[in-house]
Amino acid sequence: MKRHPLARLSFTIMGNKSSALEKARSRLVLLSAFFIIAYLVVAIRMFDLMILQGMFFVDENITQEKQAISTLAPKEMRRADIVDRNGVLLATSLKTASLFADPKLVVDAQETAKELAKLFSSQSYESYLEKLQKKNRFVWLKRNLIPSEQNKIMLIGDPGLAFREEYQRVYPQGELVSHTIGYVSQDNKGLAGLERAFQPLLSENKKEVSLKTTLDVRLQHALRQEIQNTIEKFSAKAGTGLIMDVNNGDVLAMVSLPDFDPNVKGKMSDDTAFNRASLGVYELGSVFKIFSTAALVESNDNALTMTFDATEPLKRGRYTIRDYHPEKRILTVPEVFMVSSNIGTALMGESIGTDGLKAFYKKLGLFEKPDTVLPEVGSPLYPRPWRDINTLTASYGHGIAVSPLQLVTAVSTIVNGGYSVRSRFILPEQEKHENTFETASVRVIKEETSQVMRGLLRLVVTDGTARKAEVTGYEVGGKTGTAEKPGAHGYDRNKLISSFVGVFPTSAPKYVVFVAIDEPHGIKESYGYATAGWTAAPAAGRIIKRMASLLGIPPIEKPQQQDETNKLLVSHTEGEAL
Amino acid sequence: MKLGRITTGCILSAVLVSGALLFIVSQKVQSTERDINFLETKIAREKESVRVFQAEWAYLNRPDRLEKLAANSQLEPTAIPQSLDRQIMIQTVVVPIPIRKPVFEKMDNTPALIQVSTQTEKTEDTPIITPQNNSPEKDENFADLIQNLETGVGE
Repeated sequence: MKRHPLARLSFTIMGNKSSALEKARSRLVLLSAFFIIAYLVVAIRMFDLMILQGMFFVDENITQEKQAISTLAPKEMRRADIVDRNGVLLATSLKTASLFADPKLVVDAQETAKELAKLFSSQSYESYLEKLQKKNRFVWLKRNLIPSEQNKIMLIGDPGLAFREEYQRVYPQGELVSHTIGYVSQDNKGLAGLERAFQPLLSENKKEVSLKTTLDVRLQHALRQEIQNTIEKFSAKAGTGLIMDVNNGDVLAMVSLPDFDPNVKGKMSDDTAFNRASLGVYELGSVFKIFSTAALVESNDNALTMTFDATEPLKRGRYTIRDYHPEKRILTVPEVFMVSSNIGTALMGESIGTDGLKAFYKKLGLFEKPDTVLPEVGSPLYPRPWRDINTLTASYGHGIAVSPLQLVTAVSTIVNGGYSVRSRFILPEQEKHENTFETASVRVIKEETSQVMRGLLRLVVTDGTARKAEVTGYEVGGKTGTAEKPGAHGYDRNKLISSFVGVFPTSAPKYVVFVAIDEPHGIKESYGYATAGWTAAPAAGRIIKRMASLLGIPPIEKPQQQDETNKLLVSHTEGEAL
Repeated sequence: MKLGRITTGCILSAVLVSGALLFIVSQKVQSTERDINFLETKIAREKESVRVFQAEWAYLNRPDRLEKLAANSQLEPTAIPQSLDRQIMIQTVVVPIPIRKPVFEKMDNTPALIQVSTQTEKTEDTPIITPQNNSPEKDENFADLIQNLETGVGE
C-alpha cells in the first residue's frame, strides 16, 4: 500500500511528551498560518496597487485633466455674467488656457513642433522648434486657447507642454454696449460702467447668477446704427442717443459714438471711452422748452390761451434774444412751442418768474447730479448766481447744461402723467439698492399738465419743426433742439448740437427716444441745413419705426381726437400747412 | 481545550472575513471617490465649454452680423407698410417663400447657405430666394476674438 505524501503531516505523537509536542506543533501551525495570511494580504494589496489602481492612472487624459484643473488657483472666482433684459450675453468670463513649454522636459522637440505648426498656422514649424529647443525652462507658445484647441494639444501628449488657465472677460457684443457695460482691469476689477458699479456683486458671484440689465441689444443696435448713419451722412463729429421706458425709467438703449471695443483695450482712447450720454453735459437748446412750457402750464390754468409777442427780437439789458425762423407776429403758447420761438419762450419764462421756473426745474431734478447706478454721471451746469436774465435764457435751454440721461429722465416725468422717475439700468428683482421702486409713484407735476404737454409734443411732429420724425400709426410726439456750441468767443454759429427728444405713442406714452448729433454739416439733401429737424428728427423717426416692429407694437388705426383739438389752438398760423 | 480551538478558529475566520470586507469596502470607497473626482472634473470642463459655446452663440448672433447674413441670403424682413387698412396690408405684403426647405450646410464660420432647388416648378407670383455667395468678413471667427483678447487695461 502506497502512503499518501501528505500522510506524514497527520502523524500522532504518543507517549508522555505527547501533549507538550502537540502544543508546540499547533503553535507552529498557527504561526505559519499567520505569516501565510500576512503575505497573502501584502500580495493582494500589491495586486490592488499595481493592477487595480494602476490601470486607472494609465489613462493619460485623466491625469492631464487633473493637472489642468490644479493649475487654476482655487481662490479665483468666476466673475458673474452680464445679460440684457432678454438674457442675451453682454459680458462673460471664460477660462482660457495659455500654452507654455518647459524645453527641458520636451521629449521630441521636432515632432512636437510639427504637431503645433499643424494646429496653428499663425506660427511656423521653425519658430516652434526654436522655442522648444531654448535653454531656459519657460517659454510661451500660444496665448488664450479655447477648450477645443486645448484638447488637441493634450493629444500631442508631450510632457514638456503645459497650460496656465485664467479667467478672461469677454464681451461678445463688441462695441455695441461698450459704454453701459464698461470694462475691467487686468486682474478682472471693474473700471467703468456697470462692471464698476456692481464690482462687489459681480466678483463675489456666490450664487452663480448673472446680472440682468434693462438694455435690449436689438434696440441698442437700431439706435446705434441710425446714429452712426446720421453721423456719417452729415459728417458729424459724434453722436449720442437713449431709449427709455417712461413709466419706470428703464434704459433700453444707450449709445455714445464714437465708441470702443472692450475686447481690444489697446485701441481705446479718451474720446471713445467718454460716455456722451451720461457723463457729457450739453446746452441742448430748444428741447428745454418742454420744461419751461410745462412750468407755465403747471402754474397757469389758462396757459394755452395766453399769447406772446414775437414780432421783434427781445432786448433785456445787453442781451438780445432772436428767433431762428422769425414768425414776426403774436403767438399763442402752442404756436410758440410748435415753431420753437426763443422770444416767445423767454417771455413765458419771464411770466413764470425766476422762483417759479427754478422751483419747477428743481422738481424735475435738473439741478442735481442724477441719482443712478452708473458711475459715469455728469453734474448739471447752471448759472450761479442765477440772475433774472438767466431765467429767460434757461427757458429755451441756454446757460443750462445737462446730460442726455438727465434730460430723458425729466422728459419721462413730463409725459408719463407727472410721476418722478429715476433712470434704471438693472432689472429690479436683482437691484439691492435702497429706494428702489417698481414703477414711478411719486407725483411731481399735475396729470393735466402732462396731458397738455403730450398734445403739444404731438403738434410739433404733425405741424412743427419735427415733421420728419413722424411714423404713421405710432403717434410720435417730440421736440427738436438746435443749439450752438459755446466756443472761445461766445457761441459758434457753425458748430451745432442738433437733438431731438421723441415720445410715442402720445395718447399713452411708453417710450422716450433721444438723439443728438454733434457738429453735423449741412448737405444738399437737407438744403444745407444741419438743424435738428433735418438730422436728429428723421433718425429718431427711423428708430421708432424699427422699435415698433422689434417690440411688436401694433399701429394705432385711428388718429386720436386729441390731435384735432390741438390744431384748433394754432388755427391762425400762417404759412405752415395744417 | 477543544472549545478554545473552536473559539480561536472562529475569531480567526471572523478577522479574515471582516478584513476582506473592509478591504472591499475601502476599494469601493476609493473607486467611488475616483469616479466622483473624474465626474466633477468632467462636469467642470463641460460647464466651461458650455460657457464658451454660449459666448460664441452670442458673438455669432450679434445684430450687425445677423443683418449682414440676412442681406447675403436675401432674407431681409419684408417692409411692413405703414398702412392702416388690414386688407391692403395683406394684399401688398408678398412674403418670399423658398421652394424647398432650407438646408444648412457647415456650421463653422462660413455662412449657412440656403440651398434652393431650381428644378421644382415655380409660379410667377412667388419670388424665389437665390443664394448668394458673399462670404462675410474675416473677423467672424470666435477663436480669433478670444486669441486677440486684450482684456484688462494696465493700471
